[in-house]
Amino acid sequence: MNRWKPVVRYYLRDYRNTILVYYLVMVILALFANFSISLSNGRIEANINGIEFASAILFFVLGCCSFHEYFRFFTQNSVSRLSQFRGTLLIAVLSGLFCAAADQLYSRVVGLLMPTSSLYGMLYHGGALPWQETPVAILWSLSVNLACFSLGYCIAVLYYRMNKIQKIAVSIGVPLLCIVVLPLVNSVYLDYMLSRALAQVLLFLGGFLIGPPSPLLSAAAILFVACIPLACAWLLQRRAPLKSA
Amino acid sequence: MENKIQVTDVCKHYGNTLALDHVSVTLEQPCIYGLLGRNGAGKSTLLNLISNRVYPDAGTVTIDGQDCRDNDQALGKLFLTSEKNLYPESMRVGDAIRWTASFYSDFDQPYALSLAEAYELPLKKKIKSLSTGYGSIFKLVVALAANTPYLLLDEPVLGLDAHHRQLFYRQLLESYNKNPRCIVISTHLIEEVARVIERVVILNEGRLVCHEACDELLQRCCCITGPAEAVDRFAAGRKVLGYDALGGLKACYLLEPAPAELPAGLQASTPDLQQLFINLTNGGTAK
Repeated sequence: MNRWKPVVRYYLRDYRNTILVYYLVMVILALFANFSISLSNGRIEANINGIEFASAILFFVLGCCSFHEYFRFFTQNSVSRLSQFRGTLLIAVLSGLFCAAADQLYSRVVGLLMPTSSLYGMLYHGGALPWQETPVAILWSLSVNLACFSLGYCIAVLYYRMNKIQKIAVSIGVPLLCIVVLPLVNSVYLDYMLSRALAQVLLFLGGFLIGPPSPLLSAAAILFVACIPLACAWLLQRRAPLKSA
Repeated sequence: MENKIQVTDVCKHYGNTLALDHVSVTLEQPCIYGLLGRNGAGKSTLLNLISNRVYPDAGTVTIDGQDCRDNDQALGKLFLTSEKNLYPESMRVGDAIRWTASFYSDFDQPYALSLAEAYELPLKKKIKSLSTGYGSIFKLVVALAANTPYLLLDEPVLGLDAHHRQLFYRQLLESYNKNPRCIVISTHLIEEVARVIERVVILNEGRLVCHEACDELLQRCCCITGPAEAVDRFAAGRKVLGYDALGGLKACYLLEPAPAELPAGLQASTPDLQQLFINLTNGGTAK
């Protein structure tokens, strides 16, 4: 029996409601903004841009929430860790694809009500042939969603594997490092070399470094980078013991 | 095809604690095993190793000849219920039964629902809001309906009242008669489970102490009671498992059948499994 199939079905049951609520909120926001504009007789301007950014955050959160409870339930039902991982990956791709397409549709529909632009449109307008714009935009959004999901999932598995002291050390140490230590070192000792390097990495991931802005290159780069936390997540998960078993 | 779970030389440490120390045991089907041991003996660890919930530090576990590690085909043949609830907190009983059916192809959903009715288990209630007893009942219902070739039950009757325990043992035997398979019951209620088990596996301090048919083990032992001095004289030079003393009277558990003739004042009887277990895990040996 392919045990990853019920894994995917189970994830779908939870993700379906989450994604529906998310888009319901986005629709309500758009309607509220449009209603405000109508009421103000043009005195208020409103626009909704970059929904892909909100979707990316959604997928990061989904990734963070997609391990602990599911690992316990699937292990109770004797699903191997490999099938669990496969199922998780598949649901991330399916839901990422759905949301990427939904975001494009949302931008177009909201665009009929008020000035709006997708994140892809703001970054890469004209970066692909007209007939390619929508599929390329969906592919790019999918890569961003998967990257955020894989990061969140990796963090979830990492926290599961850590003991209490390690969790405290990471929970305090990482923010301290990112907010205090690195900026200090960056400005005082390295003459903002870290900032410049980070900017170069972001430009590379955005497909802006080589030739004209290329969303396909960006999608490939983001997917490649997303493989790193995914690989880490698998290495941590493959021999994860069931705690409180 | 081998119809058995083969545990070969497994060791497991938790920090500085040695939970299992070179344990090798074969669990064949069809048979009902009693997995007995004192607190911390390693019973739950052994069951968790078999079901791949934790990994051994050494040794192997195979199910029907296949390594159980990350093997869906092997793992799909067994179902383990443990003391801890691994179901999502917000899940309802009825939903849990339906979802388990999607993971196990032989899951008997009508049977599960009939069991739930027999135990008066509310299907619409959330699992987290069940009492300890009904939490155990829920796990038993799912386990019995799973119809897997290997069924591992870790403390299955935790929190159950006497009526429900009797009902469970009856249904376990009915299920076993209908579908003979390998069932392993790990419990501290030895007197009760002695009526249903065929073979006994006893662990003590992480080591295998005994793995034998129940009847054969009991026939190999006897209990000699009488005045303390007479019992001590009789027991000298024999394989003694342990003693019980009360005032001037003494009971001695021997690892040999009762002799045909006894000195005056002494009586022989067959010890029950619980008495035998206590003496075996108090330093005695079954070998």
